[in-house]
Amino acid sequence: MSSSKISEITETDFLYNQLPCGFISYKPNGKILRVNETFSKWLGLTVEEMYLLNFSNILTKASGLYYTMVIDPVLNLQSTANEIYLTFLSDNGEIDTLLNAVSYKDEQGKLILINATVQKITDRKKYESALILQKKHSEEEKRRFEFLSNTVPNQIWTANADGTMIYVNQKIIDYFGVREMTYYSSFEGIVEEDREKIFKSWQKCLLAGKRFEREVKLVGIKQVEEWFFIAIEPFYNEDGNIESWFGSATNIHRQKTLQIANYSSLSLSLNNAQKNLDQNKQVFANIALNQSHMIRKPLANIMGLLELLADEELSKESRNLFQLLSASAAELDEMIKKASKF
Amino acid sequence: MSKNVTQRNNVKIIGNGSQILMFGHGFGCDQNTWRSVFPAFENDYKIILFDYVGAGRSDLSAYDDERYASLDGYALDIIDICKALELKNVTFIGHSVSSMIGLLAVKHSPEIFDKIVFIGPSPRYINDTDYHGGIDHKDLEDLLAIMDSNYLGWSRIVAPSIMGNPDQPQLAEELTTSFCATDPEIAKKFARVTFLSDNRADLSSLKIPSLTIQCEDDFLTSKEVANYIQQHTVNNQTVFLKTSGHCPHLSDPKGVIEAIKAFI
Repeated sequence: MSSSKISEITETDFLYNQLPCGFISYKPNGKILRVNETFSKWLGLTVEEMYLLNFSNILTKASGLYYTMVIDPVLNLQSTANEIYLTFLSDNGEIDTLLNAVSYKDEQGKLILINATVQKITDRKKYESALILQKKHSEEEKRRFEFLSNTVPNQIWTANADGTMIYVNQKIIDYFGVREMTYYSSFEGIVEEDREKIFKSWQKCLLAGKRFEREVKLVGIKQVEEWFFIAIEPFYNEDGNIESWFGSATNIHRQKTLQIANYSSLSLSLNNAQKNLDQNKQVFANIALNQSHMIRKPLANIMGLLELLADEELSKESRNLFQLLSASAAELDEMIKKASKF
Repeated sequence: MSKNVTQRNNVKIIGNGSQILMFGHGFGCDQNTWRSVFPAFENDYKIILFDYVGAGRSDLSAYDDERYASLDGYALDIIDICKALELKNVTFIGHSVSSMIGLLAVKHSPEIFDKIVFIGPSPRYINDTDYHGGIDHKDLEDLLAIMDSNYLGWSRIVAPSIMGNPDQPQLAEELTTSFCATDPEIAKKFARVTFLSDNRADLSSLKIPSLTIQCEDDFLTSKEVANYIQQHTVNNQTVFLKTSGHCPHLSDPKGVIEAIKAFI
């Protein structure tokens, strides 16, 4: 009993008609010559009803257009076309399929017949549609980012985890006059004398996964050196790994040159002040020397007279006054000596 | 300039005749589409084959969104080639959208062309008041969605089948590897430009003789559209082939060759 059943369900006609796969044979003009029951059931038709239809009539309009414009020429020029997504009309609406077709030609190379298998992929198609939607969404987001990055006045770029460039905004293309750049190795936009130093610094950040921040002199298409503030920030994915780097370069040339100019000016002022002080010091020393001489002369007289007076006999009261006068003269003499040494 | 253009558009020059036949392929194809037709002319004519930028083996990097945002950009490809090769008295043969591209090339540079042949032409694909182009806007959006789905696996479609086909020599497969090798994104843009074009007003500008070759049963265009062209174009004659489909140069090359020979 079971062996006869097995024979029945493996018999060629049974397989052709009942396998969960559509089979269809049609002429280049679309006339359907043979179709299996599985396919006709999918479309809600009998096999006989399908023989009255044209291949293009069982497709949706858009699938018919695609088949006419793209697949028909392919099958005329080559013998196969694989995994073509087509939508067929059915009594319940539409069914999504993948069609594999083989074309046969006569001795003159003229197409005479197409044999095709049809796989129903409705659920897979839903998944694929979701993927396509997501892809479109991602592309839209990418366009938004690019639009935004082109509206800001900064140079903006993104790089892979290893530092190789993914995207550069229009400002970068305009500034450096190139579309392809790596920023990764010896980027020629950085002034030559700083290039190696900057690269090493960036390399350290890249390996350590740390933010890079630096004031850098860049040279663009105009061949003029300009100061930029460059910041490159790592972007971590959900797994905690660096997925990409976001970089920006802001032109700070005006502020930087102003800062440098202010610094130079301040430095000059300090130098001048020091020089003034030095000059003043000399003047003061000269004055002190001159004044000390001028004062020392009468003081020397006073001190000489005091020495003469020391030999004279004086009353006790006068001796006390004499000693006070001598001490004051000595004190004054000491002060003048110190001032002249200054 | 000459070398750039011939490389950009993958131009092939065949035959040594004094008269020139220039073949323009349609959407989704490249110059291989003419392989059953041009050999019938190569003994008597100089044949110019090319791929529009974005199609076949053209230079994809030459694709420019702005230039190819209308059929005029594609018409410029034709004019560029003719100027680079210093061609005159050209008979242009265009399939499908190439018919209107050729029409625009003639409009822009009439001094280059003598005659023009339209195969399966349509001056407007989208239906309009009192005009039946055949498709509506929803059909176009659905078509672009199908292209999206198929281009995800486009290489599979044209890859040799694992089933094989012993009837076909391997050589034929190799010849067509570039066929339809259009960049998917460019193809979608080309489809949008093609189907949103409206060249009905340009028909009256055509002063040189023209021939329309139309299949009796064409899913994309129709006898009605071919008749519209004839009614609005001076000196246009129409041949209806008793074959079906949109590519009679592939399905009925003999019929197409005879019609062209009778016209030129």
